[in-house]
Amino acid sequence: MKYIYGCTTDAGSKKRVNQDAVGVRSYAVKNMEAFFAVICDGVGGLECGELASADTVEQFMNWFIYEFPQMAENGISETKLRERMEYIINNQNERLKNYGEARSIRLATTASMLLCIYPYYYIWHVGDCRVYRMDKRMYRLTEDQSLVQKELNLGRITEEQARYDKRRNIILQSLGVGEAVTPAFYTGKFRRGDLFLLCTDGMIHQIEEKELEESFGFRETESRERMEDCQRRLIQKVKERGEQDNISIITVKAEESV
Amino acid sequence: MFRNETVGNSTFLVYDTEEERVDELGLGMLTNNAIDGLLKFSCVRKDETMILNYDVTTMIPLRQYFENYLHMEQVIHIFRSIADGIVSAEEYMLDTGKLMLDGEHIYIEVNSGNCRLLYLPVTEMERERNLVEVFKRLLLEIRYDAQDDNAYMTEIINYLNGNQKLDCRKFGQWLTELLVKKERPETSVRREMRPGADYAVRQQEPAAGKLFDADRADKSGETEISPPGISQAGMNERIGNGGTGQKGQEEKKKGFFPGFGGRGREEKKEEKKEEKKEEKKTDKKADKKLERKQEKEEKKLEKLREKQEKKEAKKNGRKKEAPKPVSVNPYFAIPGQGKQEGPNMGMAVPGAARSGSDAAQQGPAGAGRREQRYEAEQRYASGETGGAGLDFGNTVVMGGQEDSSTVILSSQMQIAYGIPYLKRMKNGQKVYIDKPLIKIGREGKYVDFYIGDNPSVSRSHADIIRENDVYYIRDNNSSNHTYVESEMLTGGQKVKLGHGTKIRIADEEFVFYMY
Repeated sequence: MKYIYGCTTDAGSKKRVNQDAVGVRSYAVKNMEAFFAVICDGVGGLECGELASADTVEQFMNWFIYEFPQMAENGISETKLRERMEYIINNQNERLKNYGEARSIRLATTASMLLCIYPYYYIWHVGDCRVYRMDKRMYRLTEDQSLVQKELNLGRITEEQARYDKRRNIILQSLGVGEAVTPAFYTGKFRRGDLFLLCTDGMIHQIEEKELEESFGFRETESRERMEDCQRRLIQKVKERGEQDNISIITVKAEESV
Repeated sequence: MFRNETVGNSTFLVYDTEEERVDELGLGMLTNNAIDGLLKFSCVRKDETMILNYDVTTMIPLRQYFENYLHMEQVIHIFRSIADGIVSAEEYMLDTGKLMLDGEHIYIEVNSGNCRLLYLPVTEMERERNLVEVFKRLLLEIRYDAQDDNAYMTEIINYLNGNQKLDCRKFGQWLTELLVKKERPETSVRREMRPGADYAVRQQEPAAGKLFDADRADKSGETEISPPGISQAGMNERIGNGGTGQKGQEEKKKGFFPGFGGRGREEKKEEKKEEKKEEKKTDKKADKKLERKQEKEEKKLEKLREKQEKKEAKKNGRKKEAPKPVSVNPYFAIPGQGKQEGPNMGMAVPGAARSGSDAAQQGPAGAGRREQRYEAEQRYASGETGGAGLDFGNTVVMGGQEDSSTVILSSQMQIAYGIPYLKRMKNGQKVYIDKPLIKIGREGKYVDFYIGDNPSVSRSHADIIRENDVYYIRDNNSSNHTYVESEMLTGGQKVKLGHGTKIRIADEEFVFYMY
């Protein structure tokens, strides 16, 4: 198994600062490659969202670089993996809060992490970034931790209303604000040839999920360069349609190693 | 008084007493029995002194454990464990007045959360006999996870207040029932595999709990993932239990309100209609409130931004300027230039994108530095800076309190300062000492600096402590000890650290840097 992956991030047409941050990496362990991606969207309503998102990406990438190999070498259970990630997530929450308190500022970020170890994927999710899986069709794997999603779940608004709801930028959980964070955890199986897509909310406001699905065909995911070309085209499309927020996207495809 | 002593791989809490003061019955019970819930005991006679030894290897005092925020399950488990220990002592006819039931002398195994009590068989020793007061005092020492529904604490306090003479056996049983009653619903969302579901979830845990054991890898062929049975339209509807539309309807069918016996169907319908209307009204009110709050916040943010820009423009003598890359700290990682050495707040430049891949692993984890390739990309919007109107679509966190003293620090105002860090020499792994306590060890759910590939490191091996800007290392009664400049620490001992101090944790080398 090997992974082809690419990532692109853009400040968007209006924002001065890109408060998104992304990280991707793969690692070989016991003849199998593992893949890790993290995507963060700094909370723009607070100061230094860009700091929060970038630091969070760094912390999780450090986990994957230094700790994951140790865990993998000894063989780990899903329980241990989850325990460790939840500890790091809450530790990061604490770090951001402490940093902010020491400087009389508030900073926060959403975060979604995807870990792939064939044939399983694991997702830890805080906020409103999105993670999708595609085989012949596209499936959304995460649920937004947002007010609008909550209203949708309660049946108070429709899908259509949700798209244009002014409250769509209100999230219910992030790193850096609350006392503790309870990440949503998702796990499942994937096959060779499946594609994962992670994106910040700036990507999905002006585009249908079907368009996303149709953008990443076989040719577009043959190589990293093609993937990132496709990502850049999508971002451009979304900007032309009036998206003003930061936009970030990661795609990764699981392929048979040759 | 107690002192710590290390013998080989074990750490003991030691108490010296005159032989004549020893309670022989208690001593005999402890020496001849392995009593569940009590610290392992041994004693040595030396002249007229009895040396009482309590094995606290790899355990830490409960008070130290209370430095973490605890959630309900942990608190209840600790109390139950203490209650069980007291019951054990009673079964061996030990005097509970001689149990040292305080946070300093109750010890806990970090991985299991099980407590072990210290029984001191000394004749004049009379500790708190009122077990209700013991547990109440412990309640006050704990730091509680604020996200928990802490109503369980009320229940515990009410139970204690209602039982002046506490029967620990019954208390333990009650705690077990309380835990079952209060157990949090599954906080993580797992999608069940159902026919027509869009995603498959593993039905069972991997064999033997090992994720990546190649020998046990699932070679049975790929599991068929159920094809989606629902149309593409309305992707979100496929999530979870049949979609939001359906769920909403289901809830409507159930009704949010209990039925009233004896009332007709029509009346019930009317009631439901009325209640829905009320709900809509309150929803609208809530919506408007939220909208007003949001507008207020956006205006405040805009004012702060304008203020900030005016200051910057004044300083630079320019009215408007092209957007600068936001550099919060000159020592932060700067895209394209790699990480800078020196003071590092551990924060990367905003908007950075990183990617990299390792060369295939060549041996055991940690053998040499892996080649790391990072590509950083940074994107900044060009064009008009600030004053261009309200930021559109800023994410706002629900429930965040507006702090009147909040200020925005410009990049020029932020000054780098060094944060000490500990570096593991084997693989370059670092941890920044950016909080008062940094825990080092092998227990993933407990430590900040995780050392998972070395079984000689204990689960909660050692701590780095910051007190008034002075840094110490403390050994937590580890099996293979902690050494500072080759000097072994005894369990619980704190040693001051300076720049370049060499530390050995079991057989792992570390260096402490002040900057």
